[in-house]
Amino acid sequence: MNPLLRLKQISKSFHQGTQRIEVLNRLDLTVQQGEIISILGQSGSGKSTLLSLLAGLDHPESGTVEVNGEDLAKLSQDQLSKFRSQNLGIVFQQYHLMSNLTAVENVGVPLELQGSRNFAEPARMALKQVGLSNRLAHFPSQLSGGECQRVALARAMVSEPDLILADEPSGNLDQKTGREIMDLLFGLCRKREQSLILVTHNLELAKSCDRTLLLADGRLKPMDSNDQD
Amino acid sequence: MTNRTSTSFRISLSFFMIGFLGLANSCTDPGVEKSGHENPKPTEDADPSFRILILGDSLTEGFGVSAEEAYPSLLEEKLNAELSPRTKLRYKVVNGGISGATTSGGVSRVEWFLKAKPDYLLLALGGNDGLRGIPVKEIKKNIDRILHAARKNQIPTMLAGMKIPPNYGEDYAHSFSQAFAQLAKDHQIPFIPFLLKGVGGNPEMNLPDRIHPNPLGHQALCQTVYESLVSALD
Amino acid sequence: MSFAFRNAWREIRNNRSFCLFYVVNLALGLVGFLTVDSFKSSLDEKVREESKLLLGADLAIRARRDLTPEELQGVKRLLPTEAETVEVVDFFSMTAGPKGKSRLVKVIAMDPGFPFYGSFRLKLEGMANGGEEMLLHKRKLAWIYPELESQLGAGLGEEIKIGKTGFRISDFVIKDSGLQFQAAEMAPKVFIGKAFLDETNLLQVGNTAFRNLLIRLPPGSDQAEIEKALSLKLSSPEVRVYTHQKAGHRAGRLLRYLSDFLSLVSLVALFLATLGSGYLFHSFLIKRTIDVAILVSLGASRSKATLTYLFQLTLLGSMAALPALVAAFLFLPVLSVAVEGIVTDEIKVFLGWKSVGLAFLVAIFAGWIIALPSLRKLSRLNPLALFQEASQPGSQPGGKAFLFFIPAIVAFWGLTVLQSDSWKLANLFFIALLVSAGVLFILGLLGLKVINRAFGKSRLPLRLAARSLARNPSSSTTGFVALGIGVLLLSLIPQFQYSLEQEIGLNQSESKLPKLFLFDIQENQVDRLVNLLEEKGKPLSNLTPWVRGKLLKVKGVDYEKVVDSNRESTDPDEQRRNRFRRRGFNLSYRDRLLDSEEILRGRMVVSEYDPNSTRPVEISVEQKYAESLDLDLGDQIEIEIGGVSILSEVVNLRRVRWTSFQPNFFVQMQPGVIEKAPKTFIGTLNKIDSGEKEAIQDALVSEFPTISILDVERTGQTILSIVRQMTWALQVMAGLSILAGLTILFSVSREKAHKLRWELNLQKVLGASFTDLRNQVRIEFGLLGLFASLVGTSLSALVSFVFAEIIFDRVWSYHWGLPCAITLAVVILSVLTAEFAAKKVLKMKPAYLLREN
Repeated sequence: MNPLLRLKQISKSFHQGTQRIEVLNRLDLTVQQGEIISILGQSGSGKSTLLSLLAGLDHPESGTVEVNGEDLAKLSQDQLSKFRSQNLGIVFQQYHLMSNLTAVENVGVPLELQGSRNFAEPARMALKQVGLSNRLAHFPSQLSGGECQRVALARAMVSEPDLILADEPSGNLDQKTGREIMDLLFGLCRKREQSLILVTHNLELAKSCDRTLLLADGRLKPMDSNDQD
Repeated sequence: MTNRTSTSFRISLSFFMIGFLGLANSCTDPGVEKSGHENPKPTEDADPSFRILILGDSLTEGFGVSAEEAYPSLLEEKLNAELSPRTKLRYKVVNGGISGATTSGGVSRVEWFLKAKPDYLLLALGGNDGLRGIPVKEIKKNIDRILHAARKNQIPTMLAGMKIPPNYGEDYAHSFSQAFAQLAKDHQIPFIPFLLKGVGGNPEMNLPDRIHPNPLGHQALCQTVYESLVSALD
Repeated sequence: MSFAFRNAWREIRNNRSFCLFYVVNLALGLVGFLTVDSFKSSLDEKVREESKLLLGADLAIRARRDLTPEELQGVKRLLPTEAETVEVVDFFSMTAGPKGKSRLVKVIAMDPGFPFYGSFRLKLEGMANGGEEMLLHKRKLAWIYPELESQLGAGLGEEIKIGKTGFRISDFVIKDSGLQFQAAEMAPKVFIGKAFLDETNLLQVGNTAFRNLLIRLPPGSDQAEIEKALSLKLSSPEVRVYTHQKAGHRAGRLLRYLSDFLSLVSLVALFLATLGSGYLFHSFLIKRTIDVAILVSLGASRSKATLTYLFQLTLLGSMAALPALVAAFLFLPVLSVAVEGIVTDEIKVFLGWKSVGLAFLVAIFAGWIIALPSLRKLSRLNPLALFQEASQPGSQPGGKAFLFFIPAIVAFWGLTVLQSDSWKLANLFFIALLVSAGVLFILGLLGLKVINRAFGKSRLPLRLAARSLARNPSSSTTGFVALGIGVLLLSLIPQFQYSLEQEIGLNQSESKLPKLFLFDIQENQVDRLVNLLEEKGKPLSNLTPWVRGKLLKVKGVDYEKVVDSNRESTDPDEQRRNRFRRRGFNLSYRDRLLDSEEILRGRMVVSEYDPNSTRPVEISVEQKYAESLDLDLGDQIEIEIGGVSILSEVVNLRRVRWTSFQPNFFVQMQPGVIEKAPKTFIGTLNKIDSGEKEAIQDALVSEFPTISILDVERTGQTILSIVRQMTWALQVMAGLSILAGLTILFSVSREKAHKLRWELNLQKVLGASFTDLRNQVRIEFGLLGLFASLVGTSLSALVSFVFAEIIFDRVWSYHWGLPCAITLAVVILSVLTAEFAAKKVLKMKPAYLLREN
């Protein structure tokens, strides 16, 4: 079976003044359909850069990013946008909901962006799945942190994407709520056999995944139980 | 920005800019009559009275004084008070004065008024002509025509002589005032040598503009006219 | 103190883009304000000079007699010692040329030194100031108006007779100054030296000459006081005292209106700019709230923090004043060119020190005052907010916040009054602006709700645009109000111009404006006159019958007993004269309206009077005249015409355009009644070149010496050109306002885009394309611009109506093409501005979003 995601020899660096900082250095990654992996790393280790590449928001200097066999670099901007709305779900640490839309509308945005007029029903379903049926018409400012993240979750799931990227989803929440969110996330992914890449610095969370990788020195290394942070 | 500007009305200039006012006084005509004709004619009174028409300008109209204070009104009073007992006639003075009127306008006006067949006509026009520097020849021609019209209608007429202020120039002033005397002689009609005798140029008798007589001046006017009229009517 | 100052500088250095926008915004508003302010001072001085030119002095005492020795003494005592006086005598006289042709002229016999202001423009000698050295005062010479040359048959060097004396014509007067109490003269003028007046022997007893004592006051004199004292002393009704303002030209009055209007319009630009800057500052301050909270928690007092920002505003205000001053300095010549021709000579354009000071003052104070509400929030800041999760600084303002807008409103009102000379105008303008802003604000809020509801279920871009507008009422309404006011102004000014043009007939071909006005045309002269003029190729227009009527009774009551409501004066003599004047009027008969007329109420008179009907004669009465007599539809008045008493009924009330220069009458009777009554005719001559005018007048004078000719051309043309230039200048100012409005829009848009950068990028991440987002911005601001324009133009229709009612006597006519054009332009501009402002954010890479903040 073809892997869902394959990164081959990815390199990416940034310029800061006159210095050139190498962030990713010939990085490889393969993710199968339905796999849940976690990527651990210190602050500044390049997690965000990696996520950007995975989301097709940025291009590597060298190497390829293939999703479902398609090289992202070969897609046009419009195709990339389409790709993101159909095949990708992102959950941010800061939730990043649209302040002027209600919960159900927020969830429906990816569908609307795909051109679908009928977004309300799927959005409602998605919100039901995250347990927010009674919060459909609320604006983000009226929701608690946990509720906001659930909405974000629902949004990431609503177009049933193959791949979900989660960037420290519980980072802004208290332990209990964070736990709830993660359970929800894992549960939904497993149920639908969606791949999940979880970026975190929380070892506990990492252990709940199928695989744990460590991002260090610009490359990904599998982590065994002996590696400590 | 309404154009009710008060243009200064001098006897010489009833000239207006755009949108302006005219002068008038209330006539002593008793007839409150609705016009029933296509072109109304001057009213005829049923009473046996003696109607004197004075055709004139702002002097006659009574610029700056009330209707009762103007000399035609005073004249009527005086005639009825003093002459009536003798002649047994009721006198009526029709004030045909219009400010700014000139002799050339008098021609058409007199024909209109003569339709009502007044019993006597006093012609007191010419002052404005003089103040506007109209050639004397022209003035004479017009007055001539007025007098002819009166004669044609068999209305006895008296002519009032005018003078103009000295600043208009001696030659003109002289030929101007001479014209009236000449006309009176040619038409052989009674003549008042100078209507504003004792009034013209006398600050006491005039309004502050020193041109139009004040009530005192009108009384003098009335007296002047009365004297001439009485000798003519008797 | 110094900490606050240093902090202020720090804030400026660290927030360069905000400061730049603030300064530019404020400077924009200041430019208009400054330009007009300095122009105004120049203009005021010019107008003063102009009216002095017309009178030729500061004060004049005029009477038909010499002043008594006692009166002269009194005058001397009341004048300052350095005051100068000069005597001029003017009177009508018949003058004869060498060949005996004579003509009525106005003789001006002047002392050397006349006029004090202005000079003569002579054909041969050029400019002459009438000083002692002039030959005119030394010999029996005369300067004459050019038309007299042919009318008297006397050329240069030939002699004319004034009274007994001969005067040799030494020059021709193209233009003269002084003693110009009327806009038009009835007779051409002849100028001689007063020394030779006695010789003419013309001023004998009974003369009607005017003696004028002209006075020039030393600088620094209190003219008003002196005039009052003189009037009191010279209590005789025969003597009148004139100031140069009283004797002033109509043009002067119009100029003053222009100046007032200009300054008011410029104030709007300033107001908008201040509003924009205030908004910017508000947004800026909100961003700084956290820092201020930190400062406070570290031990700084709240007042120190407030002081910091006051300093910052002061510095920024000063920085705004400088470019504004420079721009104004450059802009002034442009404006002065615009009003060229309204006054005779150029207006000196100078940026007075007063204006410079005012610029700084206004810039700084405006900044303080408009920042009050924001600063107030600052002072109520609670550092505890720092410890809260996701602290949202800048919560909804409390009800009391509105109070803090009051100083701004009061200050603006103060400035309005200061800048305009007329209380009435200032207050009217201020109220109109305030009400407009209020209406815009309320409509804006309502509109937002409507938009929100209307697009609640639409596609994403539209829905987001609507939501974005609706859920950010402060920024939306700011932009809305600003644009709305700019649009209001921009469409209002041309409306005035249009109304004025309609009023004066500017839209019609120039030929409709008469050059010469003829009256006292006798009935028997009409045919001859018409033929003569046709032969000369200058046909007579507007031949209208002119009948004199006297008022006998009004609504059944004798006229004499009618109480006149307008008590114009307390002097019984004056009252009597006024009553006398109003008793009579000129009427005509017509069954249709002229272009310059309009029926306000009632119906047109029936075409022909039916002699068999028992109804009274129908008349149409001019509205203001009807008001003065308390007449309404259906009322009856009794008019005496040529000795005949006619009962007539008011069938309609009419409005007459006073500026149309067409023959207009207060009362128009239906035809078929007074055709045979004694009447004269009036007419106009329209298409005449200046060169031909003399020849025509010549011909008319010789053929029809009794017909009077009035030259209206000069007056009419002047007024028209003034109006044209007025509106040009006003529109420039209005354009500035729109610019200020758009600048605000730019700031608002930029602000919003910045605030929403996360969401915009989020949408990109979620799959929105650049086009989608750009459309969103376009829709949002396009909607704002559209709505603002619609409301703005509607308001302008309303305001122009109200203004027309009060100032221009109901000359309201609306030009619909213009508002449509403005709406379109504003929508396009709004979209472009917003897009440009948001571009930076729109182009940002969404990867930004994923970076840890």
